[in-house]
Amino acid sequence: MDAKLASGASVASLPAASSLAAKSAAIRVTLPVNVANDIDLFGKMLRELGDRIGCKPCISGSACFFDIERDFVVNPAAQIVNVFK
Amino acid sequence: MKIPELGIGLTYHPVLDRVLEKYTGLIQVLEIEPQTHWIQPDPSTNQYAIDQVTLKKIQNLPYHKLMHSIGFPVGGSRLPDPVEYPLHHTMIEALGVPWMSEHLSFNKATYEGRDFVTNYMLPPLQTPAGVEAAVQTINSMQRQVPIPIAVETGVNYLRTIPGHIHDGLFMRHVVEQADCGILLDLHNLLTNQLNGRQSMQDFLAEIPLERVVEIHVAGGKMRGNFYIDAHSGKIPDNLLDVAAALVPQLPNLGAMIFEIFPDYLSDLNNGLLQHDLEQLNRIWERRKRRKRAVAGITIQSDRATSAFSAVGDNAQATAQKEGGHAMQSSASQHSIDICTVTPAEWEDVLAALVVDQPIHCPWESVKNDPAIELIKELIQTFRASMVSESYRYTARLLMIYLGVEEYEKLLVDFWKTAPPEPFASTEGANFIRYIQDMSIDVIGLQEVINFEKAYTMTLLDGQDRIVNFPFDPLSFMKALAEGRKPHQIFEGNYELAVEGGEGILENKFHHQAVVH
Repeated sequence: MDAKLASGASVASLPAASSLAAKSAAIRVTLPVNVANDIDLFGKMLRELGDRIGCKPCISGSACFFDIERDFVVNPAAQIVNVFK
Repeated sequence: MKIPELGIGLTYHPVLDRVLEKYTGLIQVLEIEPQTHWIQPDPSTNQYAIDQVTLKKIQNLPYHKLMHSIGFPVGGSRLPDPVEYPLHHTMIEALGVPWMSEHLSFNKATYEGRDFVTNYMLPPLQTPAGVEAAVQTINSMQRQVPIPIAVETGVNYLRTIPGHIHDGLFMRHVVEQADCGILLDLHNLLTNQLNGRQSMQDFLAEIPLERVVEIHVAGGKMRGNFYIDAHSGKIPDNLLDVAAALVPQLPNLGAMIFEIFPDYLSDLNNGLLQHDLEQLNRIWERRKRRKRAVAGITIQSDRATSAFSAVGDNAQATAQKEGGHAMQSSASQHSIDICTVTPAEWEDVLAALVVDQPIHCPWESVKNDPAIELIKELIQTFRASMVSESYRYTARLLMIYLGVEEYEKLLVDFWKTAPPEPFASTEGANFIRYIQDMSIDVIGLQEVINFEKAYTMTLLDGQDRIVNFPFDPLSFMKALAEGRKPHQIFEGNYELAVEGGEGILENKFHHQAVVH
């Protein structure tokens, strides 16, 4: 746990320049917020900010995000499809 | 009302950025749903702010911009909330928006003395009193907004109520009395026709076509016995034929927008999207050549008639293929004296029914309408999606450790305790509060919740944050990302430091935050 992850997130002890003091004997994992949503690290788990906390798009049909999530958990072998990838 | 001719566009969402790059030549307009770029930084207060980073990004995109508001429906008796106008003004000015649109629907109601939103656009009361209420609401918005307003023809899954004004005629009365434009959503009209309401042809014959300033097209799908306006991808071919026949006869048309819900993008391959955009561009180009600058034209061309027939035939075929749908043969055995109902009464009762709150519905035909169950389900899928989007790790953790069925029961119990919220932040926070009150015993639950809160706050304000974990957080969350339990829990004293970057709230627009 002391190397750089593929995404660039550093997994190391506290950088000396950081203003945050580590608790004694704690292993600190540093996750830059701009790479926290990297597909290599966490499978792009964190949605766009607007999706996470904003008002939802206009729709008079059905939202299917939960259905996708439910199916994925039931069948975790399923691939997350990203048509634009 | 002077409407510039802008062209073909898409409803904007950040996931469409790659589409925009790929199809630059086929897109001239982006339609912004302003509220999707607002945030409610603190769910415990009613403060809103514009995501300035996104606003700047949109501002720099080389397209015309329109605004399609989704929080201010103007078809009911409740006036738009004035606290949102300053944010609208900012976006109109920043993006150079020439006109904006809203829904001729309602989403606000009162239940046991408390105001709430349904998170769903519901159909207005189509009576003279309903016309009067909608006109008053539109006028109120017109006084506050510095650009022309168009109102959208909505979806209505309910059966036709005897005594209601026809859908098209209701629209005509409202827009003529309010003196505003029409956003003609052709897919909504198709949806209504397929589910047994007024035909597209009859609707179009009843509205003042010279007031149509914008068209929406989209794809839909069957859900149970209903065809729903899902914005789920491909535009039905017959709908494109209708658009081709209709568009040259709209003297004041300014734009045609293709609506796609971001969740369905994975269902739509690039070839299909390109095909539909090319079709829309052809229709737009032909319009330029054939435009007749006259007002009040009826739809009489052979091509239009043939296209409308095809849509009707297709409706029947689709419905039969899918096992029959909610055609309205059994409409109202218990008729309502609809003219004695007030708009506020209609709104309160219908809203309570669809958010599953106990209420006495005096109208048997509405209470027993299968559309009530449909809308209830649609609102619930919407709410479940909001929780999964705002607390995705937490939702997955619960599904993985409790099982999907138990998780869904949790959601159902939660929905009984709280009405829907328009912002995912508030809906998510309410759910988190609910499960914390339940004292659910799932490993890592509190740590994962703390991480998701910290991540969001750091995106907002750019500040570093630390979340303590009694086990290795990376391997744990990677397992959740893969939809499985961790193979092993590596216990230890860990700190997950979320490093900040450029926050989107910091010192940028506190003056724009609005409190009510």
